[in-house]
Amino acid sequence: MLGKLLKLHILLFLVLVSSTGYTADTDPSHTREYQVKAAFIYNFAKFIEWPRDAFPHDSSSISLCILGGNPFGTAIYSIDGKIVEGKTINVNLYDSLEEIGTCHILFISNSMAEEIPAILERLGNRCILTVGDTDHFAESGGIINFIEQDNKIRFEINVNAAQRARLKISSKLANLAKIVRETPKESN
Amino acid sequence: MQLFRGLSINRKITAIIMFISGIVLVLSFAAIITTDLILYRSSMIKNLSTLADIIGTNSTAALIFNDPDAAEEILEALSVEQNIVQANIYTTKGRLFASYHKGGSPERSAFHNPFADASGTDPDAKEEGYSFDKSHLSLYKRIVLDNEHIGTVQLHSTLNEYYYRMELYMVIGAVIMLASILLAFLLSSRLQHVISEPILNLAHTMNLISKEKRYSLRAEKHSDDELGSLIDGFNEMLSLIQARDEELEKHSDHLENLVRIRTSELSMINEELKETVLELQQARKAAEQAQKMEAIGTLAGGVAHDLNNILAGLVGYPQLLLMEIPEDSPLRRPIMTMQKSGEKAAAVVQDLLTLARRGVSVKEVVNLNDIVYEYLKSHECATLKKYHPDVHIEADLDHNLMHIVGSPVHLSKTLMNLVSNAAEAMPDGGNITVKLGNCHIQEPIQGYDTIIEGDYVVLSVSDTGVGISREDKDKIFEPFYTKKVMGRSGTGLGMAVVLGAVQDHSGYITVQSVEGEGTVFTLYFPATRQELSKDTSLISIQEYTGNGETILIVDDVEEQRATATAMLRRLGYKAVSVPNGEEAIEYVKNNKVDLLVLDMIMDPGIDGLETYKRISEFKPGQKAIIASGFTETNLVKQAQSLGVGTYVKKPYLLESIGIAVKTELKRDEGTTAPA
Repeated sequence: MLGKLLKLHILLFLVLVSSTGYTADTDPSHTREYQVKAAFIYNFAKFIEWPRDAFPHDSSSISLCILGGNPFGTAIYSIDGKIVEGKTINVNLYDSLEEIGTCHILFISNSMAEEIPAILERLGNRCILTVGDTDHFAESGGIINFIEQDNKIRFEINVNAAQRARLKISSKLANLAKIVRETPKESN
Repeated sequence: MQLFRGLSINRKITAIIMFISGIVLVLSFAAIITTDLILYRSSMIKNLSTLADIIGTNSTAALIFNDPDAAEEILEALSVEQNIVQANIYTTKGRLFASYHKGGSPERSAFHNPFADASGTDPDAKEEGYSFDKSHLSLYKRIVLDNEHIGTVQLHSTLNEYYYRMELYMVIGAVIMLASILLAFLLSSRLQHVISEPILNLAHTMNLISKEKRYSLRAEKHSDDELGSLIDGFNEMLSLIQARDEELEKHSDHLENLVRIRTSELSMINEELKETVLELQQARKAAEQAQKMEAIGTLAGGVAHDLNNILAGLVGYPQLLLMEIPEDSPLRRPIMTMQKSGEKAAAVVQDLLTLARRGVSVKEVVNLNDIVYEYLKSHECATLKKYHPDVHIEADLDHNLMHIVGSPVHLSKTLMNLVSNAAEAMPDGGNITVKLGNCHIQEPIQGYDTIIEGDYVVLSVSDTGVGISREDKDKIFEPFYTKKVMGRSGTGLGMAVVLGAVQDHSGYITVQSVEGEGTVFTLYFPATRQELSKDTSLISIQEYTGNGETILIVDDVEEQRATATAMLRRLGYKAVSVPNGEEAIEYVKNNKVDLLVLDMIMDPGIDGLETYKRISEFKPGQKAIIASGFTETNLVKQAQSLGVGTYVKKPYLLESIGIAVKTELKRDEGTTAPA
């Protein structure tokens, strides 16, 4: 009961934050930005369908992996334990790709911008929703990338990448996103 | 309603059918429209709700990812829906997130949300539901994602279609209604004949019957339903009425006949009644007359009886005196006058007695020829002619005339009175005709209701005088009624005597008179087949003188005795007189008496009849005659049955007593006086 109330409050907060549309220039705004992004990540889970084999038979959790430092701060924990389609979100922080076990959503922090193409390549066609907030992330083979547009946080989606990862992205989500194509050199 | 009552039945039927079909139509339409509109409303709500669901589901991502533009884009899809005029998406807090307005996208700030307050929030946004206002349907629908309420969709739909539908219904309804009513009118006005025509026919027939009273008319029957039986009943009723009418007519005819018969019976009875009344009146008059006569008769009889006794001396003594004195005596004339006066007085008394109908005793067979003949030769007739020199008397006798039974004296007096009256009726002269004849009477004659059929001798005395007025006709037979100059002739008893005589002879008398032309008296006497009796009227004084026979006069009045004694002695008889019956009996016992002259009534002592009876006991066959001025018919008859002879009326006259005595004395000898 207590947890539920807490959850509601967080949600309300998130919605408020997301609707006000703060910029990420300043420190507090940076925090708010990542708060919104954390909420977005949580919400992406609602509009994306993983193939069945992505979850072990008894698995009832969605694993959210943060790679290369935590830009969200404590905000990321606000979505830890939240339930999407009957599955609990588990947040795990990793420093290197090798540490990562089962993972459904992989946020690649922009601190690892140099390694992103390699990482994506390494991941190959695994059923992982890759999320980043680095420029050209999507063009590089990432599935969803946060971008800033008119002082608002928006996102772009690489549909090909999603298809390769056998993820079904809801058209509703797609309608909100900027659809990007992979660059030819990048797609190699 | 009053209007509806005045309508004719076919109009009524049409009106009822149209009214009913109209009501049914209206109700059906109302039901259909109501049901349809209710269904339409609920389908509208359902559609709107579905639409809201679609919008909500589609806008979840936009809501979650705070992308109002995307949401509005989604809402823009509603433009295909004509009815949606406005759509809003609210956040869970009720803040307006995205909106759509039909016919262009107005400024968000200028957007008019009737449900939103100044801050752009809608307090109802958190609740689901719908509401109708005048022209809109508003619907709120929650947007749920993964069991989480993330916002609310609000849709505004106009009710234009709803109203249009309603209007359409109205128009269609009105058209169908009109068409139906028209059709109903046409059909009912054609079909109502089935019901109304027989009724109208019936009504028409009824009118005809009541107007023309022709109960032979019949209503036509077209069907076998209740109307048919109504017409049957009506016709049956008519037959009954007709039959009753005929019967009534019969009855009334019968009644009329009955009334006619009854009326004629009644009028007959009425006639009879009138006749009866008339008869009664006549009878009463006659009774009154008879009573009057009776009273006068009684009076006159009493007076006459006393006068008779007094007159005996006045008549008798002059006669005796005349016999005694010499022919040339100067006294002779006055004495004769005295005698005449006495005789006249005696005649008056006799009239009175006749009137009283007590003087009639003589019933002998007479022939009126003789009476008339003797009268015309008589002294009285001569006197009459002397008084009336211009009056000429004619007699028309009939030699085949039948005899009658009666009193010659009375008949003669009757004739005399009639002729005398006739002469009096002709002061300027004229003719008196005395006519005799036989006739047979069967029919009642004038003035008499009943009459005894038989042969009659008719005596008529007619004159050419002044006549008798109608008023006087009834009075002429009353005693003391006279138109003559008093003192000159009549006693006032003349016609009364005539009537009395006629009645005494069982005869009839009629009077026919025309004023100024004359009068006819017609007298009818019953005829008889008997032979004429011997005529004693012509005996001369020499022939009734006696030969010294003893005559006993029995009379209680001294004057009578004296007169009678004197007369009989003068006639040569030995006359003796006694004042009563007892002395008479004594005298007859001791002396031989040839004849008794018996007064009938003597006071005091025994009467004449008793006297004769006692004398007859010791001396049967004693001859006697009765002398009386006052005839007790019964006594006279009894006496005559015992052997008494004739009857002499008083006062005594020499001739009459002489003849009576002589006749009685000669009776046994069988001789008659020489004619």
